Amino acid sequence: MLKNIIILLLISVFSSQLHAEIIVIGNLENNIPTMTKKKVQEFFMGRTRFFSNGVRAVPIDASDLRKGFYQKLTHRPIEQINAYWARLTFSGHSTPPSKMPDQQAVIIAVKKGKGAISYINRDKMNESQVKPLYIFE
Amino acid sequence: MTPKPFKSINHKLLNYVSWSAFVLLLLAALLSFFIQYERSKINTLSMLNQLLDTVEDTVEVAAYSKNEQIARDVLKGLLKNDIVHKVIISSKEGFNLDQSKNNKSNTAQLLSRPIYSLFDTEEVIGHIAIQPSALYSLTEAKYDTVSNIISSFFLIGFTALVILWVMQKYISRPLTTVSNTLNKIKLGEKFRISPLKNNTNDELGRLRTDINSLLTVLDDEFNNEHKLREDIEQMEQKLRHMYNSSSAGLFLLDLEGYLLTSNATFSSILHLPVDNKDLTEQQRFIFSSFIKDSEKFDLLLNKAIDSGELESEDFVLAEQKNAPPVWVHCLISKITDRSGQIHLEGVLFDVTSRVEAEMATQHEAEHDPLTGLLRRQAAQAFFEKAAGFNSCFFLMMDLDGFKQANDTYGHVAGDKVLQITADRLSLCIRSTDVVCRLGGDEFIIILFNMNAQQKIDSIAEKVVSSIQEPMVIDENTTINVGISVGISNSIGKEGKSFENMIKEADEAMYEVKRNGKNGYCIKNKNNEMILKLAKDDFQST
Repeated sequence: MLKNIIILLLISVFSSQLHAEIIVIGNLENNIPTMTKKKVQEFFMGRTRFFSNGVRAVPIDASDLRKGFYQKLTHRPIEQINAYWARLTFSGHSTPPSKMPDQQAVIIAVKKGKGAISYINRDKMNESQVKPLYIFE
Repeated sequence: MTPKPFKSINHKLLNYVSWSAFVLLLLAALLSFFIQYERSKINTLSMLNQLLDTVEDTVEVAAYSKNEQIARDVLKGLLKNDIVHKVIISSKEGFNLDQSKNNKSNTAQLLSRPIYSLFDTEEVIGHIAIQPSALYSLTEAKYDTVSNIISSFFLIGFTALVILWVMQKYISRPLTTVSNTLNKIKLGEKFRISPLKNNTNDELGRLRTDINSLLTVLDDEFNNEHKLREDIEQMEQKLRHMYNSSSAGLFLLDLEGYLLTSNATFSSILHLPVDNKDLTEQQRFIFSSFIKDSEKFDLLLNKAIDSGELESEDFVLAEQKNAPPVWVHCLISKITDRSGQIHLEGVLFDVTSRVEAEMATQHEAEHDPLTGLLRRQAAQAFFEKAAGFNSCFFLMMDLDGFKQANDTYGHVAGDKVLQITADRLSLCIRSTDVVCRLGGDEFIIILFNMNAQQKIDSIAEKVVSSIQEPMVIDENTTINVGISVGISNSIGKEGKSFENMIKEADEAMYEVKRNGKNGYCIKNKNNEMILKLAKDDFQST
């Protein structure tokens, strides 16, 4: 009984983290409007490489938020996303998004690169530093 | 239609079974081929689908990421399958790959399916299509069919052999035995069909038993029939012998008098050259043509037909060349045969000798043996038969001087005188008239149908004159006699009796005798005796 209660508690903690709002962010100088979830998918899954204004997109993964982000973005477990990239990487034509250790590093990377696109938790959002492009409900 | 040549049932069986097995095999092969072909097509389709299922995920990835390299790998991989002829992979806004194994054209249908987006299952982001190898299904079907044919061949062939063996052992061989035995058996032989060791308790066994018992019955019947026929033949021979050797001529006529059949005696009586058994239509002849008086025979026939009784009569046969007349006694009776036809059955006897004897006897009875002239009774019979004739004259005659001659020269000479007298008298009359010796030296002549008085006179004068002529008895003896003639007649006296005629003539004759003999006396119209003598030169006195 006790064991069950602990498991339930753990699940609720994780789920609260998962359900925390994630915002897709871009460089302030990159003058693009907000985008759809599908568009976000295309950038992160390697289908689209350029923004509508012609700027080359550089997707960046945040390691601490990656699992939750892809879950929200594709409704698929992170293992499948990894496998997907492994397949593409093997062909030699595509590379997966570069990984940053945490959200802080992400924000720095986005501020630096014009075509950078990444994601952070809402609580880390500072509109003076990065531009929100899409907000997960 | 000419009969078909004999063909053994074994041979036919072998033929039919082999052919049907062959046809069955062919049908099985065809059917198997079509089934296998269809199945192979379905198989191919399912295999293609499975192939597509296998590569689907990878293609989705390739299409989504617009990664042509991955798509190319998939395409190459797919083309390695025997079953695949051509692959098309296309991605919207991306690549468009289309490759086939070789340049051979292929009409097989493309199996195509859309590629959906990895993250939006409703968005089509490309297509993949596979065309199967055209000959694949066919080759598959061929292999399957060949294996099927081989197995069918053994199965059907073995079954056919078993059927053939069973049918030969239990049906056709025993049937052949029965048929051959029956074919060889001749009627009356004691052969029987030998037992069929494989068919003791089935229909063929029963057939054999039944045929054998039938043969036995047939044999008995045949022997009986044979015996009966021999008996009948013997009897017929006897009857035929009787019929042919009968001393009577036997014959059969139809109602018109045509001869239908006759025996040998009949032919010999009629002097027929051929044996008239069973005459054909053309050879028939009317029996009565053999009878002299054929009308009389026809009358007898009609009498027999009318009365239905046995009728008989004597006939003279139509005259044969250089042969004496033949007399036959003929019996005719009407018979009706089984089919209801009426015939006339006849018996014919040659009675010539009997009739001749009878005629001789009658001649003797009617004629005087010495002179050959009629006797009194015969003359009377002639007269009475001719009684209807209106006029008739009697010449009553007596020789003058006969007694003296008899006494002088003896009986032999007397008899000679009588004979000469008879001859001379016969010469004086017509053929229709009659000369009769009453007895001793008394004669009469009856003249029938005589009207003229003058003619009577001339005959009477001729009689007297001819008798007066000398009669030569032998070399040394010549006798002279005279004759007295008295004449009576029946004119105007119907029904006058023979006796009366003689009596009247006798009276007239005595008138001559009294008045000098050698002359004649006749009554005139006034019933007066007129005497005419030779010495007066027949002038009435």
